[in-house]
Amino acid sequence: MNNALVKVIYSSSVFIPILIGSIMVDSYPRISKLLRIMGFTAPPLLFILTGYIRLLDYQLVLTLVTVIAALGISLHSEAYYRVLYGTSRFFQISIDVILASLLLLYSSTYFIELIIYWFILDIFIALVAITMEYGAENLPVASTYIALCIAPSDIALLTMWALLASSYGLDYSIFINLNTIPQTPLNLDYITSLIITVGFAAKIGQIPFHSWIPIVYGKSPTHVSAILSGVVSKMGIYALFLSMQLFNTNSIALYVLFAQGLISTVYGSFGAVLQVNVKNLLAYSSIGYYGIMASLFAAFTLLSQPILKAALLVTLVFHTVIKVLAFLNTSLVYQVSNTYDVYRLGYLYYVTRKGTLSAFTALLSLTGIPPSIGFTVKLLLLLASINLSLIHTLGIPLLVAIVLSSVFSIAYGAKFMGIYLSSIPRITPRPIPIPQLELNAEIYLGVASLILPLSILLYTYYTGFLDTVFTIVLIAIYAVTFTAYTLLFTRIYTKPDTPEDVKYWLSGVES
Amino acid sequence: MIEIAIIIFYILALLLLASSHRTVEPSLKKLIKVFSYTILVADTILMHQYKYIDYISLVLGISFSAISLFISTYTLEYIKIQHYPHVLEPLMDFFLLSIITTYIAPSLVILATSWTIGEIIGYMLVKLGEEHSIEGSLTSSRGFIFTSTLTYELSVFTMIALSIVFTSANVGLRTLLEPFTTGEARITASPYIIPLLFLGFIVKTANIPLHFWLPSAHSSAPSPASAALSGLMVSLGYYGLLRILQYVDVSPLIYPITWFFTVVGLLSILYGGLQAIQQRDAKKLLAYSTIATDGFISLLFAHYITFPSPTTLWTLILGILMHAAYKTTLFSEAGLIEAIYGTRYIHGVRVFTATAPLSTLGGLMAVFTLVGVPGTIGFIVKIFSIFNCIAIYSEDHVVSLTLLLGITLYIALSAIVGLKYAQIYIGGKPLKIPSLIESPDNAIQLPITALGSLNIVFNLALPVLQPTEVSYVFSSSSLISLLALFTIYMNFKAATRGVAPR
Repeated sequence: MNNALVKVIYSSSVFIPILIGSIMVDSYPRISKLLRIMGFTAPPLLFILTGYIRLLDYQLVLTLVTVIAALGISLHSEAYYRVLYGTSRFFQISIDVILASLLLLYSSTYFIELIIYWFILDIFIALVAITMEYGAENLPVASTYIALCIAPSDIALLTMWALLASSYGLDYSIFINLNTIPQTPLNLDYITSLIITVGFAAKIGQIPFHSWIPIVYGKSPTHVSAILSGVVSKMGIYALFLSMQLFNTNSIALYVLFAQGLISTVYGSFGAVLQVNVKNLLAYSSIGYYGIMASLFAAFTLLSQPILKAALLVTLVFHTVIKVLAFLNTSLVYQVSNTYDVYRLGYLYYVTRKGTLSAFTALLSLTGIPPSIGFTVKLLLLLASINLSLIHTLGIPLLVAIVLSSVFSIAYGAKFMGIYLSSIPRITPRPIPIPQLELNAEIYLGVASLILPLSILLYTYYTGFLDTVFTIVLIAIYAVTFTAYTLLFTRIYTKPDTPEDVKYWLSGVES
Repeated sequence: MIEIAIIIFYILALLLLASSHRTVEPSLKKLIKVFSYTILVADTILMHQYKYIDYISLVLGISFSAISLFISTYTLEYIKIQHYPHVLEPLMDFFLLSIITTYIAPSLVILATSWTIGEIIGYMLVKLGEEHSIEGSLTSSRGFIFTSTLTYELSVFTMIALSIVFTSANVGLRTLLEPFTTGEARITASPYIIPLLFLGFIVKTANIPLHFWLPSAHSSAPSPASAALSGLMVSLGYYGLLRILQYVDVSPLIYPITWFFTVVGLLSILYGGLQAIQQRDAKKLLAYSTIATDGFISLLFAHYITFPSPTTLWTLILGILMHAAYKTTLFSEAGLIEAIYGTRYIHGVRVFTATAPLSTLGGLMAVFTLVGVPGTIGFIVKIFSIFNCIAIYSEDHVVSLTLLLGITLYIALSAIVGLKYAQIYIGGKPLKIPSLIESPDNAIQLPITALGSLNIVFNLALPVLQPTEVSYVFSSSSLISLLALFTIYMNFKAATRGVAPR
């Protein structure tokens, strides 16, 4: 079948059910859920598994992880906005259009697709999503996002396009097939390379373009923060991979990117420890992980060690799932307690047991405790950086940065968990009931974060990064901790909630 | 043929003058306006057919005729709602006509004459606004006549003197009447005269440090006049510069001129953009954003004179069109805001969407251009300007990177200015000013919607200018902007209905 025709069918089979589903979310909630789940899962699985659409490895990883994250966010936001505002249609349309465009962006095969979805995302995030809940109050946030994130990265994208057009011709360049081009990558000098790498690094908030991340993640509606942190930021990594595939980037730019990544790793992870606002905490920790990804990318491009690429892709999956889960959980915190301030919380375990479980799952991953995906990923990161430091000096600063970030992650992870389990209750307003759908969405993401490590282990075993003994030991650890955690989970989950009167007594308000 | 065109023009002017009498029915007035401006477009096309004017004049003439028609209809309602003296209506029509005639002037003498008439009427309009409005500077009309008009006259008479004295072939007044399209013989001017030639046009385009007259003049004029002054007349400076390049050989000075425009453009973008972000007065905000956009067009001009090619020329022309499309829309809307709330200070205005939904549609499209949403003329201009910069990178690193820096700054600052303006549409913390008029008439809102839609229509018409595959792709990307417009508009409506609190 014609390639372009396949893409048209694929795009419409993603877009149409999702759009219809989100439009009818208030009137026919069940059909809407079904349509949206179908739109997010069926076309990618059908077209990619049957081989009608061939994707490169990083595209495949990004597409699949976007599907996982999109399902959680879409279902969660439906329940959340319905409880808070009585209707969720307008929020749902914006959120679902963004998620669908992301899915299509990551599975794009023509250059024009990339450009179109990239710009649709820019508009919808800056003009609709950031301002959708708070109105004019959030316009300065949108301005920050446009000036510090969209402008540099768009210039990088347009530079990429202009370079392609100057060598392939303007008309041909937009129909370049991203999977079949690299006959002869173009050589770039250091200024053009810097424009491209620094521009795309701005999308993942690398120093000096880091200051927008706490502002935008902290003040956007929480679901938008989840999308931005979990999925949209990976556009930067995606574009970097793409530019590496299309061009021979100058090594000076890559060293700059590596340094940017190292500074951001330390700065972000340390900054997260100091935050009082939960969303800012997560935002700073995102800067830290983006830093790791950026330096891994730079190191991989410079030295072409396959284990670095594997570590990068695995970190990417980990960060997407966990940040989405953590931000969604933050929205639950705000719904229950009306504040993001860590020091005014601490009693939430007494209010919502089930919410605590998903926060705990996120904590496992953030701090790197087995059986979570965080443990596997941090192990792989350490292995990769040790491996690198044996063959090249670049490995040593990378190792130091990764170790530092793991240490800091324990500190801010504890702070994050502290909003549930740190103190006796203080005076709070009457809590809003949490809908089951919202909890289910979080549980789903939590389960995903516990099952994904197994597939990562299998992947590393089959590609030969880990030997048999090591893999068996890891799987054993995984099995034991997974069983223990499942027992804990079911025990707390099946325990009945505190009776209503106790709940209000706990929160200090007479019923 | 050229005589017939001039006679048609006079008849149109008389017709518009007669129709502006207060006893004529408004519907008849509108009909006469539509008729007159359609004839003007036909006249332009005919003159191009007979090779009296070139393609630049044709494109600018047709697009500006469309814009003028909408501004003119808007003026009718604006006089009613703001209680302006009746003389504003014929003045505006003559003003618009003189600007369009300048753009489609086939020869130097017609250009100079109609431009001078435009300057004088512009002065009268600024004076009128200055006397009528509550806010605004008292020295704006003085600034306009002494800075903008005076320097323009200086330059244009230098130009006329040059073309009479230095043309080799036939010395005499006859050269002034020769169409631009035949003028192949270029004059070599002394390097001391060239600054004099450029000065007037640079002042007209209000680049730093010659910008000081613009914010007060454009903000105190009546809104339709501000729209025309800012959207149509300021760009005359670049048009004049283009015409000078046709006559005068500036090649020995090409390097200093390029750098002059680049530096001046960069400074204007920075100064205008940063000032615009700080303003509370809607018209001041727009006036400062005019300075920033003119700085951007200066960069495009610098690019064009260093690397003259069809692509750079078209980017420059599209830049002028972009400025006209969004600036006229937003100035018209600022006039409506002034009428509704009794003030031009917009920092307290919220939920304008509920008050004037049709006007919001137009205004949103203009904001899209400012922000650079795909599918609008603003996106095309920004994307092509970056594209051209990268294309010359291998030839001249320094110029390319400086231009790129300026363009990047402009993209970021104009997006912020656009969002700053867009806050009037959204609901928010009610610093709300009570509206004097509950719901304004559709008759005043429709011209604003029409002006705003030009931001997308110009983009749709791109394949007419350059029928290439890329043009078609860009043209069809208008769908994206329409989708975004729909979603954002529905979102704003939802917010104003109280679905989303806060």
